[in-house]
Amino acid sequence: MNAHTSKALLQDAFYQVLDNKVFRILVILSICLIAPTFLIAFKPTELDVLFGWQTFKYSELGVLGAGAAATKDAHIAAIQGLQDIFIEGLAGTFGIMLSLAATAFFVPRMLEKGEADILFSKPAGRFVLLFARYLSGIVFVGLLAFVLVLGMHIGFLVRSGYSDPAFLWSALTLVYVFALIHAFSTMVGVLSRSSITALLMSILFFGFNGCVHNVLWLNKEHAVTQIHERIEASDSAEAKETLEQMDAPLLQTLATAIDVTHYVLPKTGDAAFLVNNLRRAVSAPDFAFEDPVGELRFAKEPEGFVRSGWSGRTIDLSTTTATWTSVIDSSNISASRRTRVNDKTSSGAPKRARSSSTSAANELVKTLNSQPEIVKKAERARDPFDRLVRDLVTWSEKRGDTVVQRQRAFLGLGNWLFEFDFEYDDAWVARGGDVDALQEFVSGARPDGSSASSLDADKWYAKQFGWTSPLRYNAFFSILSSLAFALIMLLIARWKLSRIDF
Amino acid sequence: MTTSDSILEVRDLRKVYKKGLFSKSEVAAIDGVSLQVGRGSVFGLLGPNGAGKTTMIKCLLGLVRRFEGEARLFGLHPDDPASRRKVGYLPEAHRLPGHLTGRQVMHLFGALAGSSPEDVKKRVDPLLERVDMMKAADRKVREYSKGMQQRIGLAQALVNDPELVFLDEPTDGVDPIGRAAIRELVTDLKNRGTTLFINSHLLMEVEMICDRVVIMHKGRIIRQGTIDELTPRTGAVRFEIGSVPTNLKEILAGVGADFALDGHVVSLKVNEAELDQAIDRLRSARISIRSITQRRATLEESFIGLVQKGVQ
Repeated sequence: MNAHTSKALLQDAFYQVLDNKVFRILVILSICLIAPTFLIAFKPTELDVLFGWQTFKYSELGVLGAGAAATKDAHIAAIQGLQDIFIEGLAGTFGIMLSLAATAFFVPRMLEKGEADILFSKPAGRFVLLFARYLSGIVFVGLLAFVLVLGMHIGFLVRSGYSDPAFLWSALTLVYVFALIHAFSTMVGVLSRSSITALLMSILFFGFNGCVHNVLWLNKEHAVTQIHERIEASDSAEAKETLEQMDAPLLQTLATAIDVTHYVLPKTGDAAFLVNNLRRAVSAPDFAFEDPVGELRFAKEPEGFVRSGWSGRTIDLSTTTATWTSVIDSSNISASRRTRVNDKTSSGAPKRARSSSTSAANELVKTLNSQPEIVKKAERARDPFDRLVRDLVTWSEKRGDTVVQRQRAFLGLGNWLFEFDFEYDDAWVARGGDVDALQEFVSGARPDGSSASSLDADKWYAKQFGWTSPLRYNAFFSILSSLAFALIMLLIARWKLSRIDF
Repeated sequence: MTTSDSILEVRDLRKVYKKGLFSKSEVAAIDGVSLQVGRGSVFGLLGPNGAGKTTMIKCLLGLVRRFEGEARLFGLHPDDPASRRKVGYLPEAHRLPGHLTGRQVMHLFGALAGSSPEDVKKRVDPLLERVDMMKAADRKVREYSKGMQQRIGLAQALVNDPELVFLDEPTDGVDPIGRAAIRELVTDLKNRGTTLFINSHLLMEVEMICDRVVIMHKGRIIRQGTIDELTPRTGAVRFEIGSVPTNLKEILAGVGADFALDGHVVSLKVNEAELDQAIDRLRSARISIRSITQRRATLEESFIGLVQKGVQ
């Protein structure tokens, strides 16, 4: 096939797409999705609708990811929430389904008597002509994805000043997902030579495929990992029993069947995780520092304090105590981590147990209140917030001639207990200091663990999935095995096409 | 004709279809056809429905595969796309891509046929003009009438300047003026040395256009030859005479048989000796003879006769 033929086939694909009524409807729908990004400005604290006509505080809305305001700017959370809804939700499911419906007839119609006779009598290989039709479908979705993603990107950039280059990859992943399912549709189209069959089978396959990966396999993996984590953490008899139940032949067969189906079918569900991976790689980190071993991230440093004796974005708080000193006096804040797992012997059998942040706080209160230098008795308060429970102990102690105000926050996460200390003198407030500095700092702490027990299935898988992960969670494996599936579909179509008598 | 002279050759071609998916019984669409075609002739392919005409063309064009025997186009097997490089084809009841305009169809099929963009560009407008589609060239094909689709179909078959053209019912749905234009186009192609294969049920047209005719029936070639060879003399002679005397029948009495008079035309079934005798008698009676024609069977009569014989 020469360049002229390729160009003519591409041109034909383009004309076919532009002529398609469903394509035109989808372009209009895409414009409807893009329009709000130009009409609504996502400002740091509020939404500005129609150039100041109406404004809404994020706290009043309580949606669009504003809950993540503590870890990053609320308007960015809202924009990313919208991008996820529009691209992954609407375009990634309904958009793909509509595109499948609109393109399912491309191949069967080409194989109908009359059109096939004239087309396949030309000196171009049968597969070349089939592949051109397959490409038509990809052009169809490629144009739509390009319009939608670029339009939204420009809208957010112009009106909200937000630009996330990784978001542009969403267009590619939409095309990628469609290309995988469209290969199946092409194969069915050749085998059945019926538009209706190709349409129904493609949509059913899309649904089934999503169900296998995003529901069955992902939840199975999450549940199994959770059980193993529980066994490892507490050695509980209950967890062991669950594991034994999982060894039942029926469950084993079911798990194997889910695994095989997952590995064979194209992993369309991974597309969203691919975008997130790219987004993470391209975007600046949205945290100030992290303790990777303790799996805790901090959105910000203590306000009005500077680091003392350490630097960088990562720190192991079990070996290094992070310290900050006030910019106005010698007041300081420190953070450290220790294990909270204790090995006990219960009725003759060894048993592992975790102590809670509350028990650690109570123990401190007890110890402090028995000491003579304590001026104001220690008190404990609880501060539950977003899956993390913090216990705060406050007291005053005499140190020489001065009275020092103390605060210690305890935070339990996994097998670790984090401790945050804050000490300041009586003149701290007079000098402009903030007595809530510790609480504000600790409120920016977010678990960033990869343990199945601490995350829901989606978030857990997002953590596992990566370019260097083990094979079952590996991004390269996901892409290559999915492309292999598409290739096999096209090869079957090619084989069948070569045997058709028109 | 040697094998190297022929541009199309089939030998013992046989194509069998299964009657059903699970059935073991078979039906032969083509049953041992052999044919060799040289350059520059116009072939008429005749036969009743289901005779195997279209299947034979499709075997040659690679549209039907896995046949027995041998088929060659320009010396190449039909499975080789290169064999179709110098071929044009207008299928019966074809459907052109409705999303394209007539002009875009020409460009697409020109490119698919392997012609260079310059050649296609050069040929599109004259061809559109030739099939009288210039005015509608930029309209979508789906807006065309059947006749217009047929004309664009014909034009696309010629866009690569083919040496061999298969036309399956080329005048189907075309009005009389359009038919005349198509006949003229075919004559032009013939004069330029293009080999044409015309499959048509309009036998008068075939008779007017074709040099040679192949008649197929039940997957076999039952007769082939020139139009003259296929339309034998009937023995009837027509005399166009200047005046018609009232005793004309008596003048010709005893000469030949089946006397008939239609205006100034007298028909008689005569042998050679009787023909001379009839001329002598007419001249003796001072009747002027303006023309004498020996009547032949029409192609239609020959075709029906052959097919009916084939059925028996």
